[in-house]
Amino acid sequence: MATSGFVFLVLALAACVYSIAAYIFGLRTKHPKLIQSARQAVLIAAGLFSAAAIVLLIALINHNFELQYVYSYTSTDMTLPYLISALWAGNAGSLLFWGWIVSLSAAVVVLRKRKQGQDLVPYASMIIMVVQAFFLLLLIFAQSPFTSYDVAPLEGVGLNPLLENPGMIIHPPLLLAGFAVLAVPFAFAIAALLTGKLKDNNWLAAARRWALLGWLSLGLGNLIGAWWAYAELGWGGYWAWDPVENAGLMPWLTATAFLHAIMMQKRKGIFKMWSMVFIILTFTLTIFGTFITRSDILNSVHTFGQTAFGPFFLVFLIITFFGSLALLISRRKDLKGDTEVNTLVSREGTFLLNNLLFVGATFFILIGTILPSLAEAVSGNVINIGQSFFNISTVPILLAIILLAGICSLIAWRRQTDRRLARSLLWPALAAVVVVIVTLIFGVRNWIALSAYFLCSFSLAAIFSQWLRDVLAFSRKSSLDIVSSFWRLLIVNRRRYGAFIVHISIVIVAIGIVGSSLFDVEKEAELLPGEQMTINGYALVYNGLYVEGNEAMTRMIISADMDAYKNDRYIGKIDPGYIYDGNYDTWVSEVAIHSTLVEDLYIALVNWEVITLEDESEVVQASFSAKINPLIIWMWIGGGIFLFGGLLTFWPGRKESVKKIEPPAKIA
Amino acid sequence: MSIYNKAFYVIGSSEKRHEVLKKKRFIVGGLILIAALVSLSYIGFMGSVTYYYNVSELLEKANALSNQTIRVSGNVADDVDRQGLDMSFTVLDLSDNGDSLPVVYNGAVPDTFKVGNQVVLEGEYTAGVFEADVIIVKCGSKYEPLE
Repeated sequence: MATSGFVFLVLALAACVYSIAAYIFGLRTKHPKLIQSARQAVLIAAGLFSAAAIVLLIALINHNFELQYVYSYTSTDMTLPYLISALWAGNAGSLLFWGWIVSLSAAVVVLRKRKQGQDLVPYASMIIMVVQAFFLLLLIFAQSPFTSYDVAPLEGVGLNPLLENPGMIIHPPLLLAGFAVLAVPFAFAIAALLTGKLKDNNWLAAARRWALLGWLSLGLGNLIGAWWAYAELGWGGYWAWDPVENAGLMPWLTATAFLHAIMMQKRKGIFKMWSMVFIILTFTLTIFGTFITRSDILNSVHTFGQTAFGPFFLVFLIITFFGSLALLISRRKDLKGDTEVNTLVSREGTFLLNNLLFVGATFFILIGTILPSLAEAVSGNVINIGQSFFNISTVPILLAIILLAGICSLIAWRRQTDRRLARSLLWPALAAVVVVIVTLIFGVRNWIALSAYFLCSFSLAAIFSQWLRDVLAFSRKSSLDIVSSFWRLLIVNRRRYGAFIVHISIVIVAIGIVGSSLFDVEKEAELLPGEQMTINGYALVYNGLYVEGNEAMTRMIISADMDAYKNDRYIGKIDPGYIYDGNYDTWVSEVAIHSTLVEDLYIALVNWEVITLEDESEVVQASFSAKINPLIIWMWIGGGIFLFGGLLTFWPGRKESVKKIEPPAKIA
Repeated sequence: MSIYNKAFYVIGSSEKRHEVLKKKRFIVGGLILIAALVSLSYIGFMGSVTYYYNVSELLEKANALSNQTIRVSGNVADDVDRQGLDMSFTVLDLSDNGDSLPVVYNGAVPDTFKVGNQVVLEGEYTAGVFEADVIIVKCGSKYEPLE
């Protein structure tokens, strides 16, 4: 069984290589039969890759411990969802999953009949096949998920208890699938460069949906990862600017920039070079990100030492990045814009600024991530770049982007009369000032928070005011009532309002980040039963410690029984604790979180010991670490809205009208 | 070409001049933006760089490194002592040359903290003891299976 999986991979590689060769020769000699067979090979490769993936899945579900991979990541007491998620739990498995998604994407690309850009498909498919071949080479020669033992062990090691959480089921595949799917827009971009078919923007139509899908997947993957870190890891935070986290964030930032740039390219024929640069960067960053995770080139809590993959990734990275750049430079004449951006105060102008800001943010994150390695290589000194670097250099840029997200909905194409712009900015600005005054009244003095809240409220108010204006104008024109107008607009112009919703969600996430980063409060206490600790108006009474375990003591749950009060009102029981896993000999902290819209009360059990009191009785003293995270729930709420908005933009509309709705002349 | 023509050629029509001026405005604006961002990041950088040592290096340069925030990396030795929120332990040099460093720490301890695991500590070295503010443990091998 193990061998069949490996054989499928080898056959898939053969199909890939054939496909690449057939495409090259078929396109060179314009031989339709060859191209057709190359196309078949793409489908065959997808089928074979799927077969390999299914073999591994079946082995995982059936506890086939003969396979080293199954032994290393599963055990007989794991439930089905976790058995399935073991597919991407390990190094080899996650690469198998990534390559598999690439193969499926390639199949969809060749099967879809598209109105525009059909002639680009063979070239794009060939590029995707190259990417797929890379993954197959890794899986076959560097680390195969199908290596087996001669004698099958009776029981597997099981899942690292830190990973036993629903977040860890969804977070990796979302990121991996996002990375995988971004190969497609990259392939179409390269196809357009190879064929020189750059005047007609056809590659954009083909690339956009895939880029949007990848971008949605990455965005959600990052947010869920942050949520998992927060709820599961016990340090009360959700983002540490660790290289692995940055590896997932950077391609998402450049993908966002890409989506904006192609919007401009489609409507105005500008930013052609920017679009190319962004998609090449995006794809390169996806590969780069995995490279730094799987080699020991960086000091990170997430690096796993010298795996065999490092050199493979580096070579592939160099070839794809410099190859794409060379191609881009050779075609630069064809990428000149149809017009020029000559006013900053226009939609084109704000988009240009937007591009620069995204590049800036990504650049600083990249520098911060690789600087330690560079410094070490050059000077021999090992340094660490702390979170404050990323916060100080990137956060202002991200706040500026949020500001733009609000303004862009108000600003018109080409030149905007300053008076009209000033008027449309007036109400949002006033609303933002009101918000700042309110927060000042509540005692907030942190000027960073105040500026951030000002910008966020401004953006929100700007988007909402524009939306309202659109609805009112539409209702007037069509004589529908407000609510019907709202729905009608939403359905007819999904792109515009989907984008509004996405922008709103980003601002909401930002509000959550500002609140929880700048106003968090921490407190620790050692309590005897009956004693309480207070934090920010909450009182937590510790009653005692409880233990549950199975017979063999391979699994134990220890939880503290606590009663929580807010301003002397009882709000419920809270039970922070630990789970002990015998296989890994690890204690995993299970934090208790009480969430409200205003703040999270976050408690971790740190330690416990038996104390003998003066009267010779024994009690268990428990130590706790409590944290208040204001507004953090808005990050997750924002995430949900993000998903909804993204899906809305993604959904094919009946009328794919990209017409903008002009704000009528006389609205205050 | 007459001087008049040359002058006109150089300065160009007022429209072209306007265009050139606009371009200049963009470039200057762009440079200012870049300068602002770079200085911002430099400030951030300077405030956040910490030097990273292993145990042997730290013991060697003990005097020079006292009373500043640094990071040190080592393996947790088997003398971990926890009382309530306090913890004291020793880290050994990664190369197993016997060098060891006493550490004290107060607060929540990461789940992956275990005897034998590699840790990175951030804090200050004072009077022969490392006072750690942050403990970072290598993430339990997600990608490499347990031996």
